[in-house]
Amino acid sequence: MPGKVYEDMASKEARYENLVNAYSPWLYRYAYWLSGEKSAAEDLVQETFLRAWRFLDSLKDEAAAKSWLTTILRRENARLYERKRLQYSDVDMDSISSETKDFDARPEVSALRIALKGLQDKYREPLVLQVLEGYTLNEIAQMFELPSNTVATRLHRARQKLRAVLQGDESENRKRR
Amino acid sequence: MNCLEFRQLKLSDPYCISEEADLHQSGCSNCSKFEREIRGLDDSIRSALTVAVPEGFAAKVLLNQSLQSHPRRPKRWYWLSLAASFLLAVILYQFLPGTLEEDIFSHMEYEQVHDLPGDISEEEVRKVLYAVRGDVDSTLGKVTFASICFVNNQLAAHFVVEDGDERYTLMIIPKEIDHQLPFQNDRWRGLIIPHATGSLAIIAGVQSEFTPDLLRVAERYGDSIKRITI
Ligand SMILES: [Zn+2]
Ligand SMILES: [Zn+2]
Repeated sequence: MPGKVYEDMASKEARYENLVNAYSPWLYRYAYWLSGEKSAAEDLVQETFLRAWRFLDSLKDEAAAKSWLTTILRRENARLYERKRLQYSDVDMDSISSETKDFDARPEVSALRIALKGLQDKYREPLVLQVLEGYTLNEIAQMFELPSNTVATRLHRARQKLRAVLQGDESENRKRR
Repeated sequence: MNCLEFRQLKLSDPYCISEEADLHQSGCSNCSKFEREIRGLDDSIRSALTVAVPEGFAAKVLLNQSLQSHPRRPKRWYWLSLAASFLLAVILYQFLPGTLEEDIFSHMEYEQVHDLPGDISEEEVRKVLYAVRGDVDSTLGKVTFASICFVNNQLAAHFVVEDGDERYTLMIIPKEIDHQLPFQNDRWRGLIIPHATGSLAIIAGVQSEFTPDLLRVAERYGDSIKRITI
């Protein structure tokens, strides 16, 4: 029976390794923007994959893998870091923008990164899913269990806020010149 | 589409493909300029969001897992498994999103091949339900297949359950519906009903001598599954 053959040959470890290689970069970046710090992001991804390992036999439809991992990560974050999230805004912005090896250091990008840190979760999170991973409005709405026009409004506001940051930057530069 | 609608669309969903928007943009130089600006903004946002992943991070995750469980066995099946994954990908390629019913039917085809005789433990059932924010409230009875699946572009729980001589496919799909939705093709007959987790689908073969009351069956399984908050 094909199912049996598949289960014998694709050892759990090989499947797991494929998942980690394919999705850990995305999950790390998502976790970083959910938690606001690198060490918390690493912990979150580790927790997510440990849970995924325990549940891996339940995943038979490989097309579901990314959404499944993303869902686990969101819930692990809610479970583990609810309290920590409150400290998000305390993160030292200067130390973030000076870590040039980890971040794109162009001034407009740095300004946006700081602005992104300052955005409320409800504006930042859908933007991360849409811009970094190409999630559609409907997919985000389903994940958040919100109507899609609510998500559209949040994305709209998020971009308006970030656009204002760049425009503010430009007028600063003009003043200096 | 007017200028305001165009700008609202580009600010909320710049990647959406819209003929109306294209048409407006081609005739409006201001909006065309606006669209370029938003594309530039999004490029910069993407750069700002793309933080570097720590070097060797994937290896670290794998190591962490292997430390937590048993020592790893040599991976002699590795290449064969890659080939098998490729085959599976080919099979799954057929699961392209269509309507909800078409999607369910393609899972029925898959299940015919992968349903193995044997009972699935309640623990396994709960793992699958976890993916759709569900849990077992009272036993589902005999379960012979359980999988986390992708149905209608979202995670779904897919089971095969047995009740006496009857065999049903049971799916929990997070898509919220407000009315019952019967569907049928030449092989299967199904019913989707609203449920606390979104919706619940029950499917039976049409060849069966006995025509079950799908609504009653759906409601009974629906009562056995509750929604969890996290
Ligand atoms: Zn216009
Ligand atoms: Zn399925």
